[in-house]
Amino acid sequence: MMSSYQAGLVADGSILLLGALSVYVILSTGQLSLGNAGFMAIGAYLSSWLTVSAGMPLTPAIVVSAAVSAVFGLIIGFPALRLKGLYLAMATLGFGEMVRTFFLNFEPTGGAGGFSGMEHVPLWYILGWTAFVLACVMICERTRWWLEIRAVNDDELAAGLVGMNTTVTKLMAFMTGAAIAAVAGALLAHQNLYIEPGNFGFDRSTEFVLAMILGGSSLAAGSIVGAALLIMLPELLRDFVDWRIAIFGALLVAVLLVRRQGILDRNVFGLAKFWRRAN
Amino acid sequence: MANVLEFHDVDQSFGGIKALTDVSFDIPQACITGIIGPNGAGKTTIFNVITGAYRPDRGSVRLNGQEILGLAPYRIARAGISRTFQNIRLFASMTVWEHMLLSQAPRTPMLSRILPSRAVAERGERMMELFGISAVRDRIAVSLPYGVQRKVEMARAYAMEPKLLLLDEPVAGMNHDEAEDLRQTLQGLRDKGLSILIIEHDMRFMMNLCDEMHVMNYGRKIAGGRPAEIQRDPAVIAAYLGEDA
Amino acid sequence: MGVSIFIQQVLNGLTLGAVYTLIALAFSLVMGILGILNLAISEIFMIGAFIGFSLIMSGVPVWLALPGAMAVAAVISMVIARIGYEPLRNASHITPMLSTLGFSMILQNFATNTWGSDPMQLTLEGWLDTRFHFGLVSLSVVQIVVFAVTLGLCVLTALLIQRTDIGRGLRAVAENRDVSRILGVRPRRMILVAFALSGLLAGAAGVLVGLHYSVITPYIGVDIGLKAIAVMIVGGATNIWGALLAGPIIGILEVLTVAYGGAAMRDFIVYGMMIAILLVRPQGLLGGSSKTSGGRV
Repeated sequence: MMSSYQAGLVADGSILLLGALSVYVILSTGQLSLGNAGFMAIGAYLSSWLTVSAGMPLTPAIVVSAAVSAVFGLIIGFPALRLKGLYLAMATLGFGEMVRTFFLNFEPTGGAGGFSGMEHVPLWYILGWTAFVLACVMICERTRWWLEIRAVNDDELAAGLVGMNTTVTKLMAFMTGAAIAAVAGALLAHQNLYIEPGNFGFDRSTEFVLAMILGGSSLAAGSIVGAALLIMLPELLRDFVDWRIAIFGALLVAVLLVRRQGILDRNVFGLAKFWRRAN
Repeated sequence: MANVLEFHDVDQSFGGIKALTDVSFDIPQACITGIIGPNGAGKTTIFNVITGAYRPDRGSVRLNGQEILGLAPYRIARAGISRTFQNIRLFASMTVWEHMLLSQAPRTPMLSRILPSRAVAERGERMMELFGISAVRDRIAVSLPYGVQRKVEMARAYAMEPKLLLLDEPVAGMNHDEAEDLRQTLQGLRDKGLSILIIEHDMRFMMNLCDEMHVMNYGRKIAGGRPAEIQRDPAVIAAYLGEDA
Repeated sequence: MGVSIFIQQVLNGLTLGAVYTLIALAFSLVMGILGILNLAISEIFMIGAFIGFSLIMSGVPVWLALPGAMAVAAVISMVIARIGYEPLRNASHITPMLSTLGFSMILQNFATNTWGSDPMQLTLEGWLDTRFHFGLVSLSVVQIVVFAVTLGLCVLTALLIQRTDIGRGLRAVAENRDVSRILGVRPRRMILVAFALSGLLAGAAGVLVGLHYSVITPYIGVDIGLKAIAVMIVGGATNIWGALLAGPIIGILEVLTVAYGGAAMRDFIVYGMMIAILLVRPQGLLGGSSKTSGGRV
């Protein structure tokens, strides 16, 4: 039987995994979002308001929040199509900070004082959502939609000339990422039972990026490894717990220098396929 | 004989520099049409106008009678024009087989994207066979030798079932035998009804391959006709002798 | 009464704007010359503030503490250039940005462990603790120092870039790294110079902001430093002089927002302005349209 401390770790890890996936889907089209904490905030606040103030059951509240967040993804993603690379990263950073300061000023959800009153969700519920989202992403990875996403990442111009509407592909990715981040936010709110704007700052967005880059940015399974690593490492390095952020930072630099694609990459599975065929 | 593409009175300038001046030509159905000319004559610019990468100042480009000028590149591609690039542009993360699947994606219904349909898979196999790349189907395309990459690019373009195939210097990096194989492949496709527009430097290759040719110099078309006529045209001879003989 | 409060706010805004200008200049030096976003600049700025504070508190005079903190900041910046940027300079622009993110995590963690996460206070003494009064408007000596140092550093940076061989080398690298090598410029050295310059400016900004507010925390990097990215964008990311215009504008805008709209709204306004500029005029207020291509750096 798990202790409640261990259960908390698993819940945190699941939510981190969802956040990492939300960045992964968007990055797969070559767009880096540094503002996914903003989508997470939308999901957390909206779902909490729906369950606490509007009396909605949690599951439909999460679905509604994800849909609303996806609409925000569309609103952000559409103008963001004109921006590339670093400029897009900066715009999403700005978006994330704007959402945070919006909730800081928005009194109906408590402003700086935060929002509470949510009912605690059992661990299996969080795991269920995580497994569901992970399965969806991994199934998508095996469809031709994902080939199109990769094509946009590899060479957007050539993708257009192969007949792909790259605008739609990029927007769909942005909306999907926004929806996943909102699910993560909703689960966080109903796990911690209290949310405040400070939960959704720049460091949250970078934590997602960190988990995904460390684990492997070319496949969804990489985010599992990354999220597990970020949750487990402080447990293993108890003597250095004050330095864990610095250790993560150093790890990030090291991974980028030594193995840019992250711990896992597509070849891991390519190799497995090769073995199967050889036998 | 009907024209698959009509490229009429096109002017294209960049800043103050005129890249194309009043260029017109037709591409007949089921023919191989060539464009030759020295470097900087505007050959690749013509491709970029046809595929929608550039918006010319003036002119009209019609595919089977329908104006395509001003359409987004992906719409032009779906309307039936596909191309290859002088400096190969394959998708860096994809195997040869994935290229075959992807290039058919926009043309197949949404549901079949979840599981590639048998028709898509069969067409992919056929494309690879046609260009002789079946043996490398599971290799990452950009890791292959240059000449093979060109074949992958052509297979990708042809897999889209185009009405018009644009080839930008397809034999660059190929040896004589490979070029000869390619000539036969392309003429075979033409005999099945495909229209091809091709840019190439190798004059001998073009003379043997093309049914019709147009000659560009300094952004203007200076001659057009059958290869034998082109060879004798004084303006063409002057342009080529004038450059480096 | 209303007018003098307004003037006072504008003066305070200009002080904050001066600090923004320096940090934004630090960002855009690296962005304009090397085309990458060095996220660690905001934390280098924070470290600069702590070094400056520590030196002043241990009795070092301000005129010595300032260059001291700048030097430390420059060294950190050069280390980041060597380890975090150079090996990745042929990767996509996102990769070196992520590695600078790694360094900013290290720097922030270092600061919280070394100086604690509680605010650190500095009591100014002697000539620094003087205010000049003009009717209801007042100007502190510290504010004058902030203006003077900012102006001086901007002029020095301008002279360095426009008038010296190093500056010509930097501009050559900004135009085209491969061509610059043919012209005899050593890109590796220029990368180091660009990072060092950017560190010097960020470090100076840290000391100035510390003096101005006389309170710092390890979080000023995220709270103030990151906003300088917005300043850089508003001014024009590839035109480093855009920061000179955008810094004061955003500084005043922010202070007026706090005075008349509420403190919590200010980040919303600043980042909102950045996004608006990105969408309407991505090259920024002074950004490189073709006619000013000569003045890219």
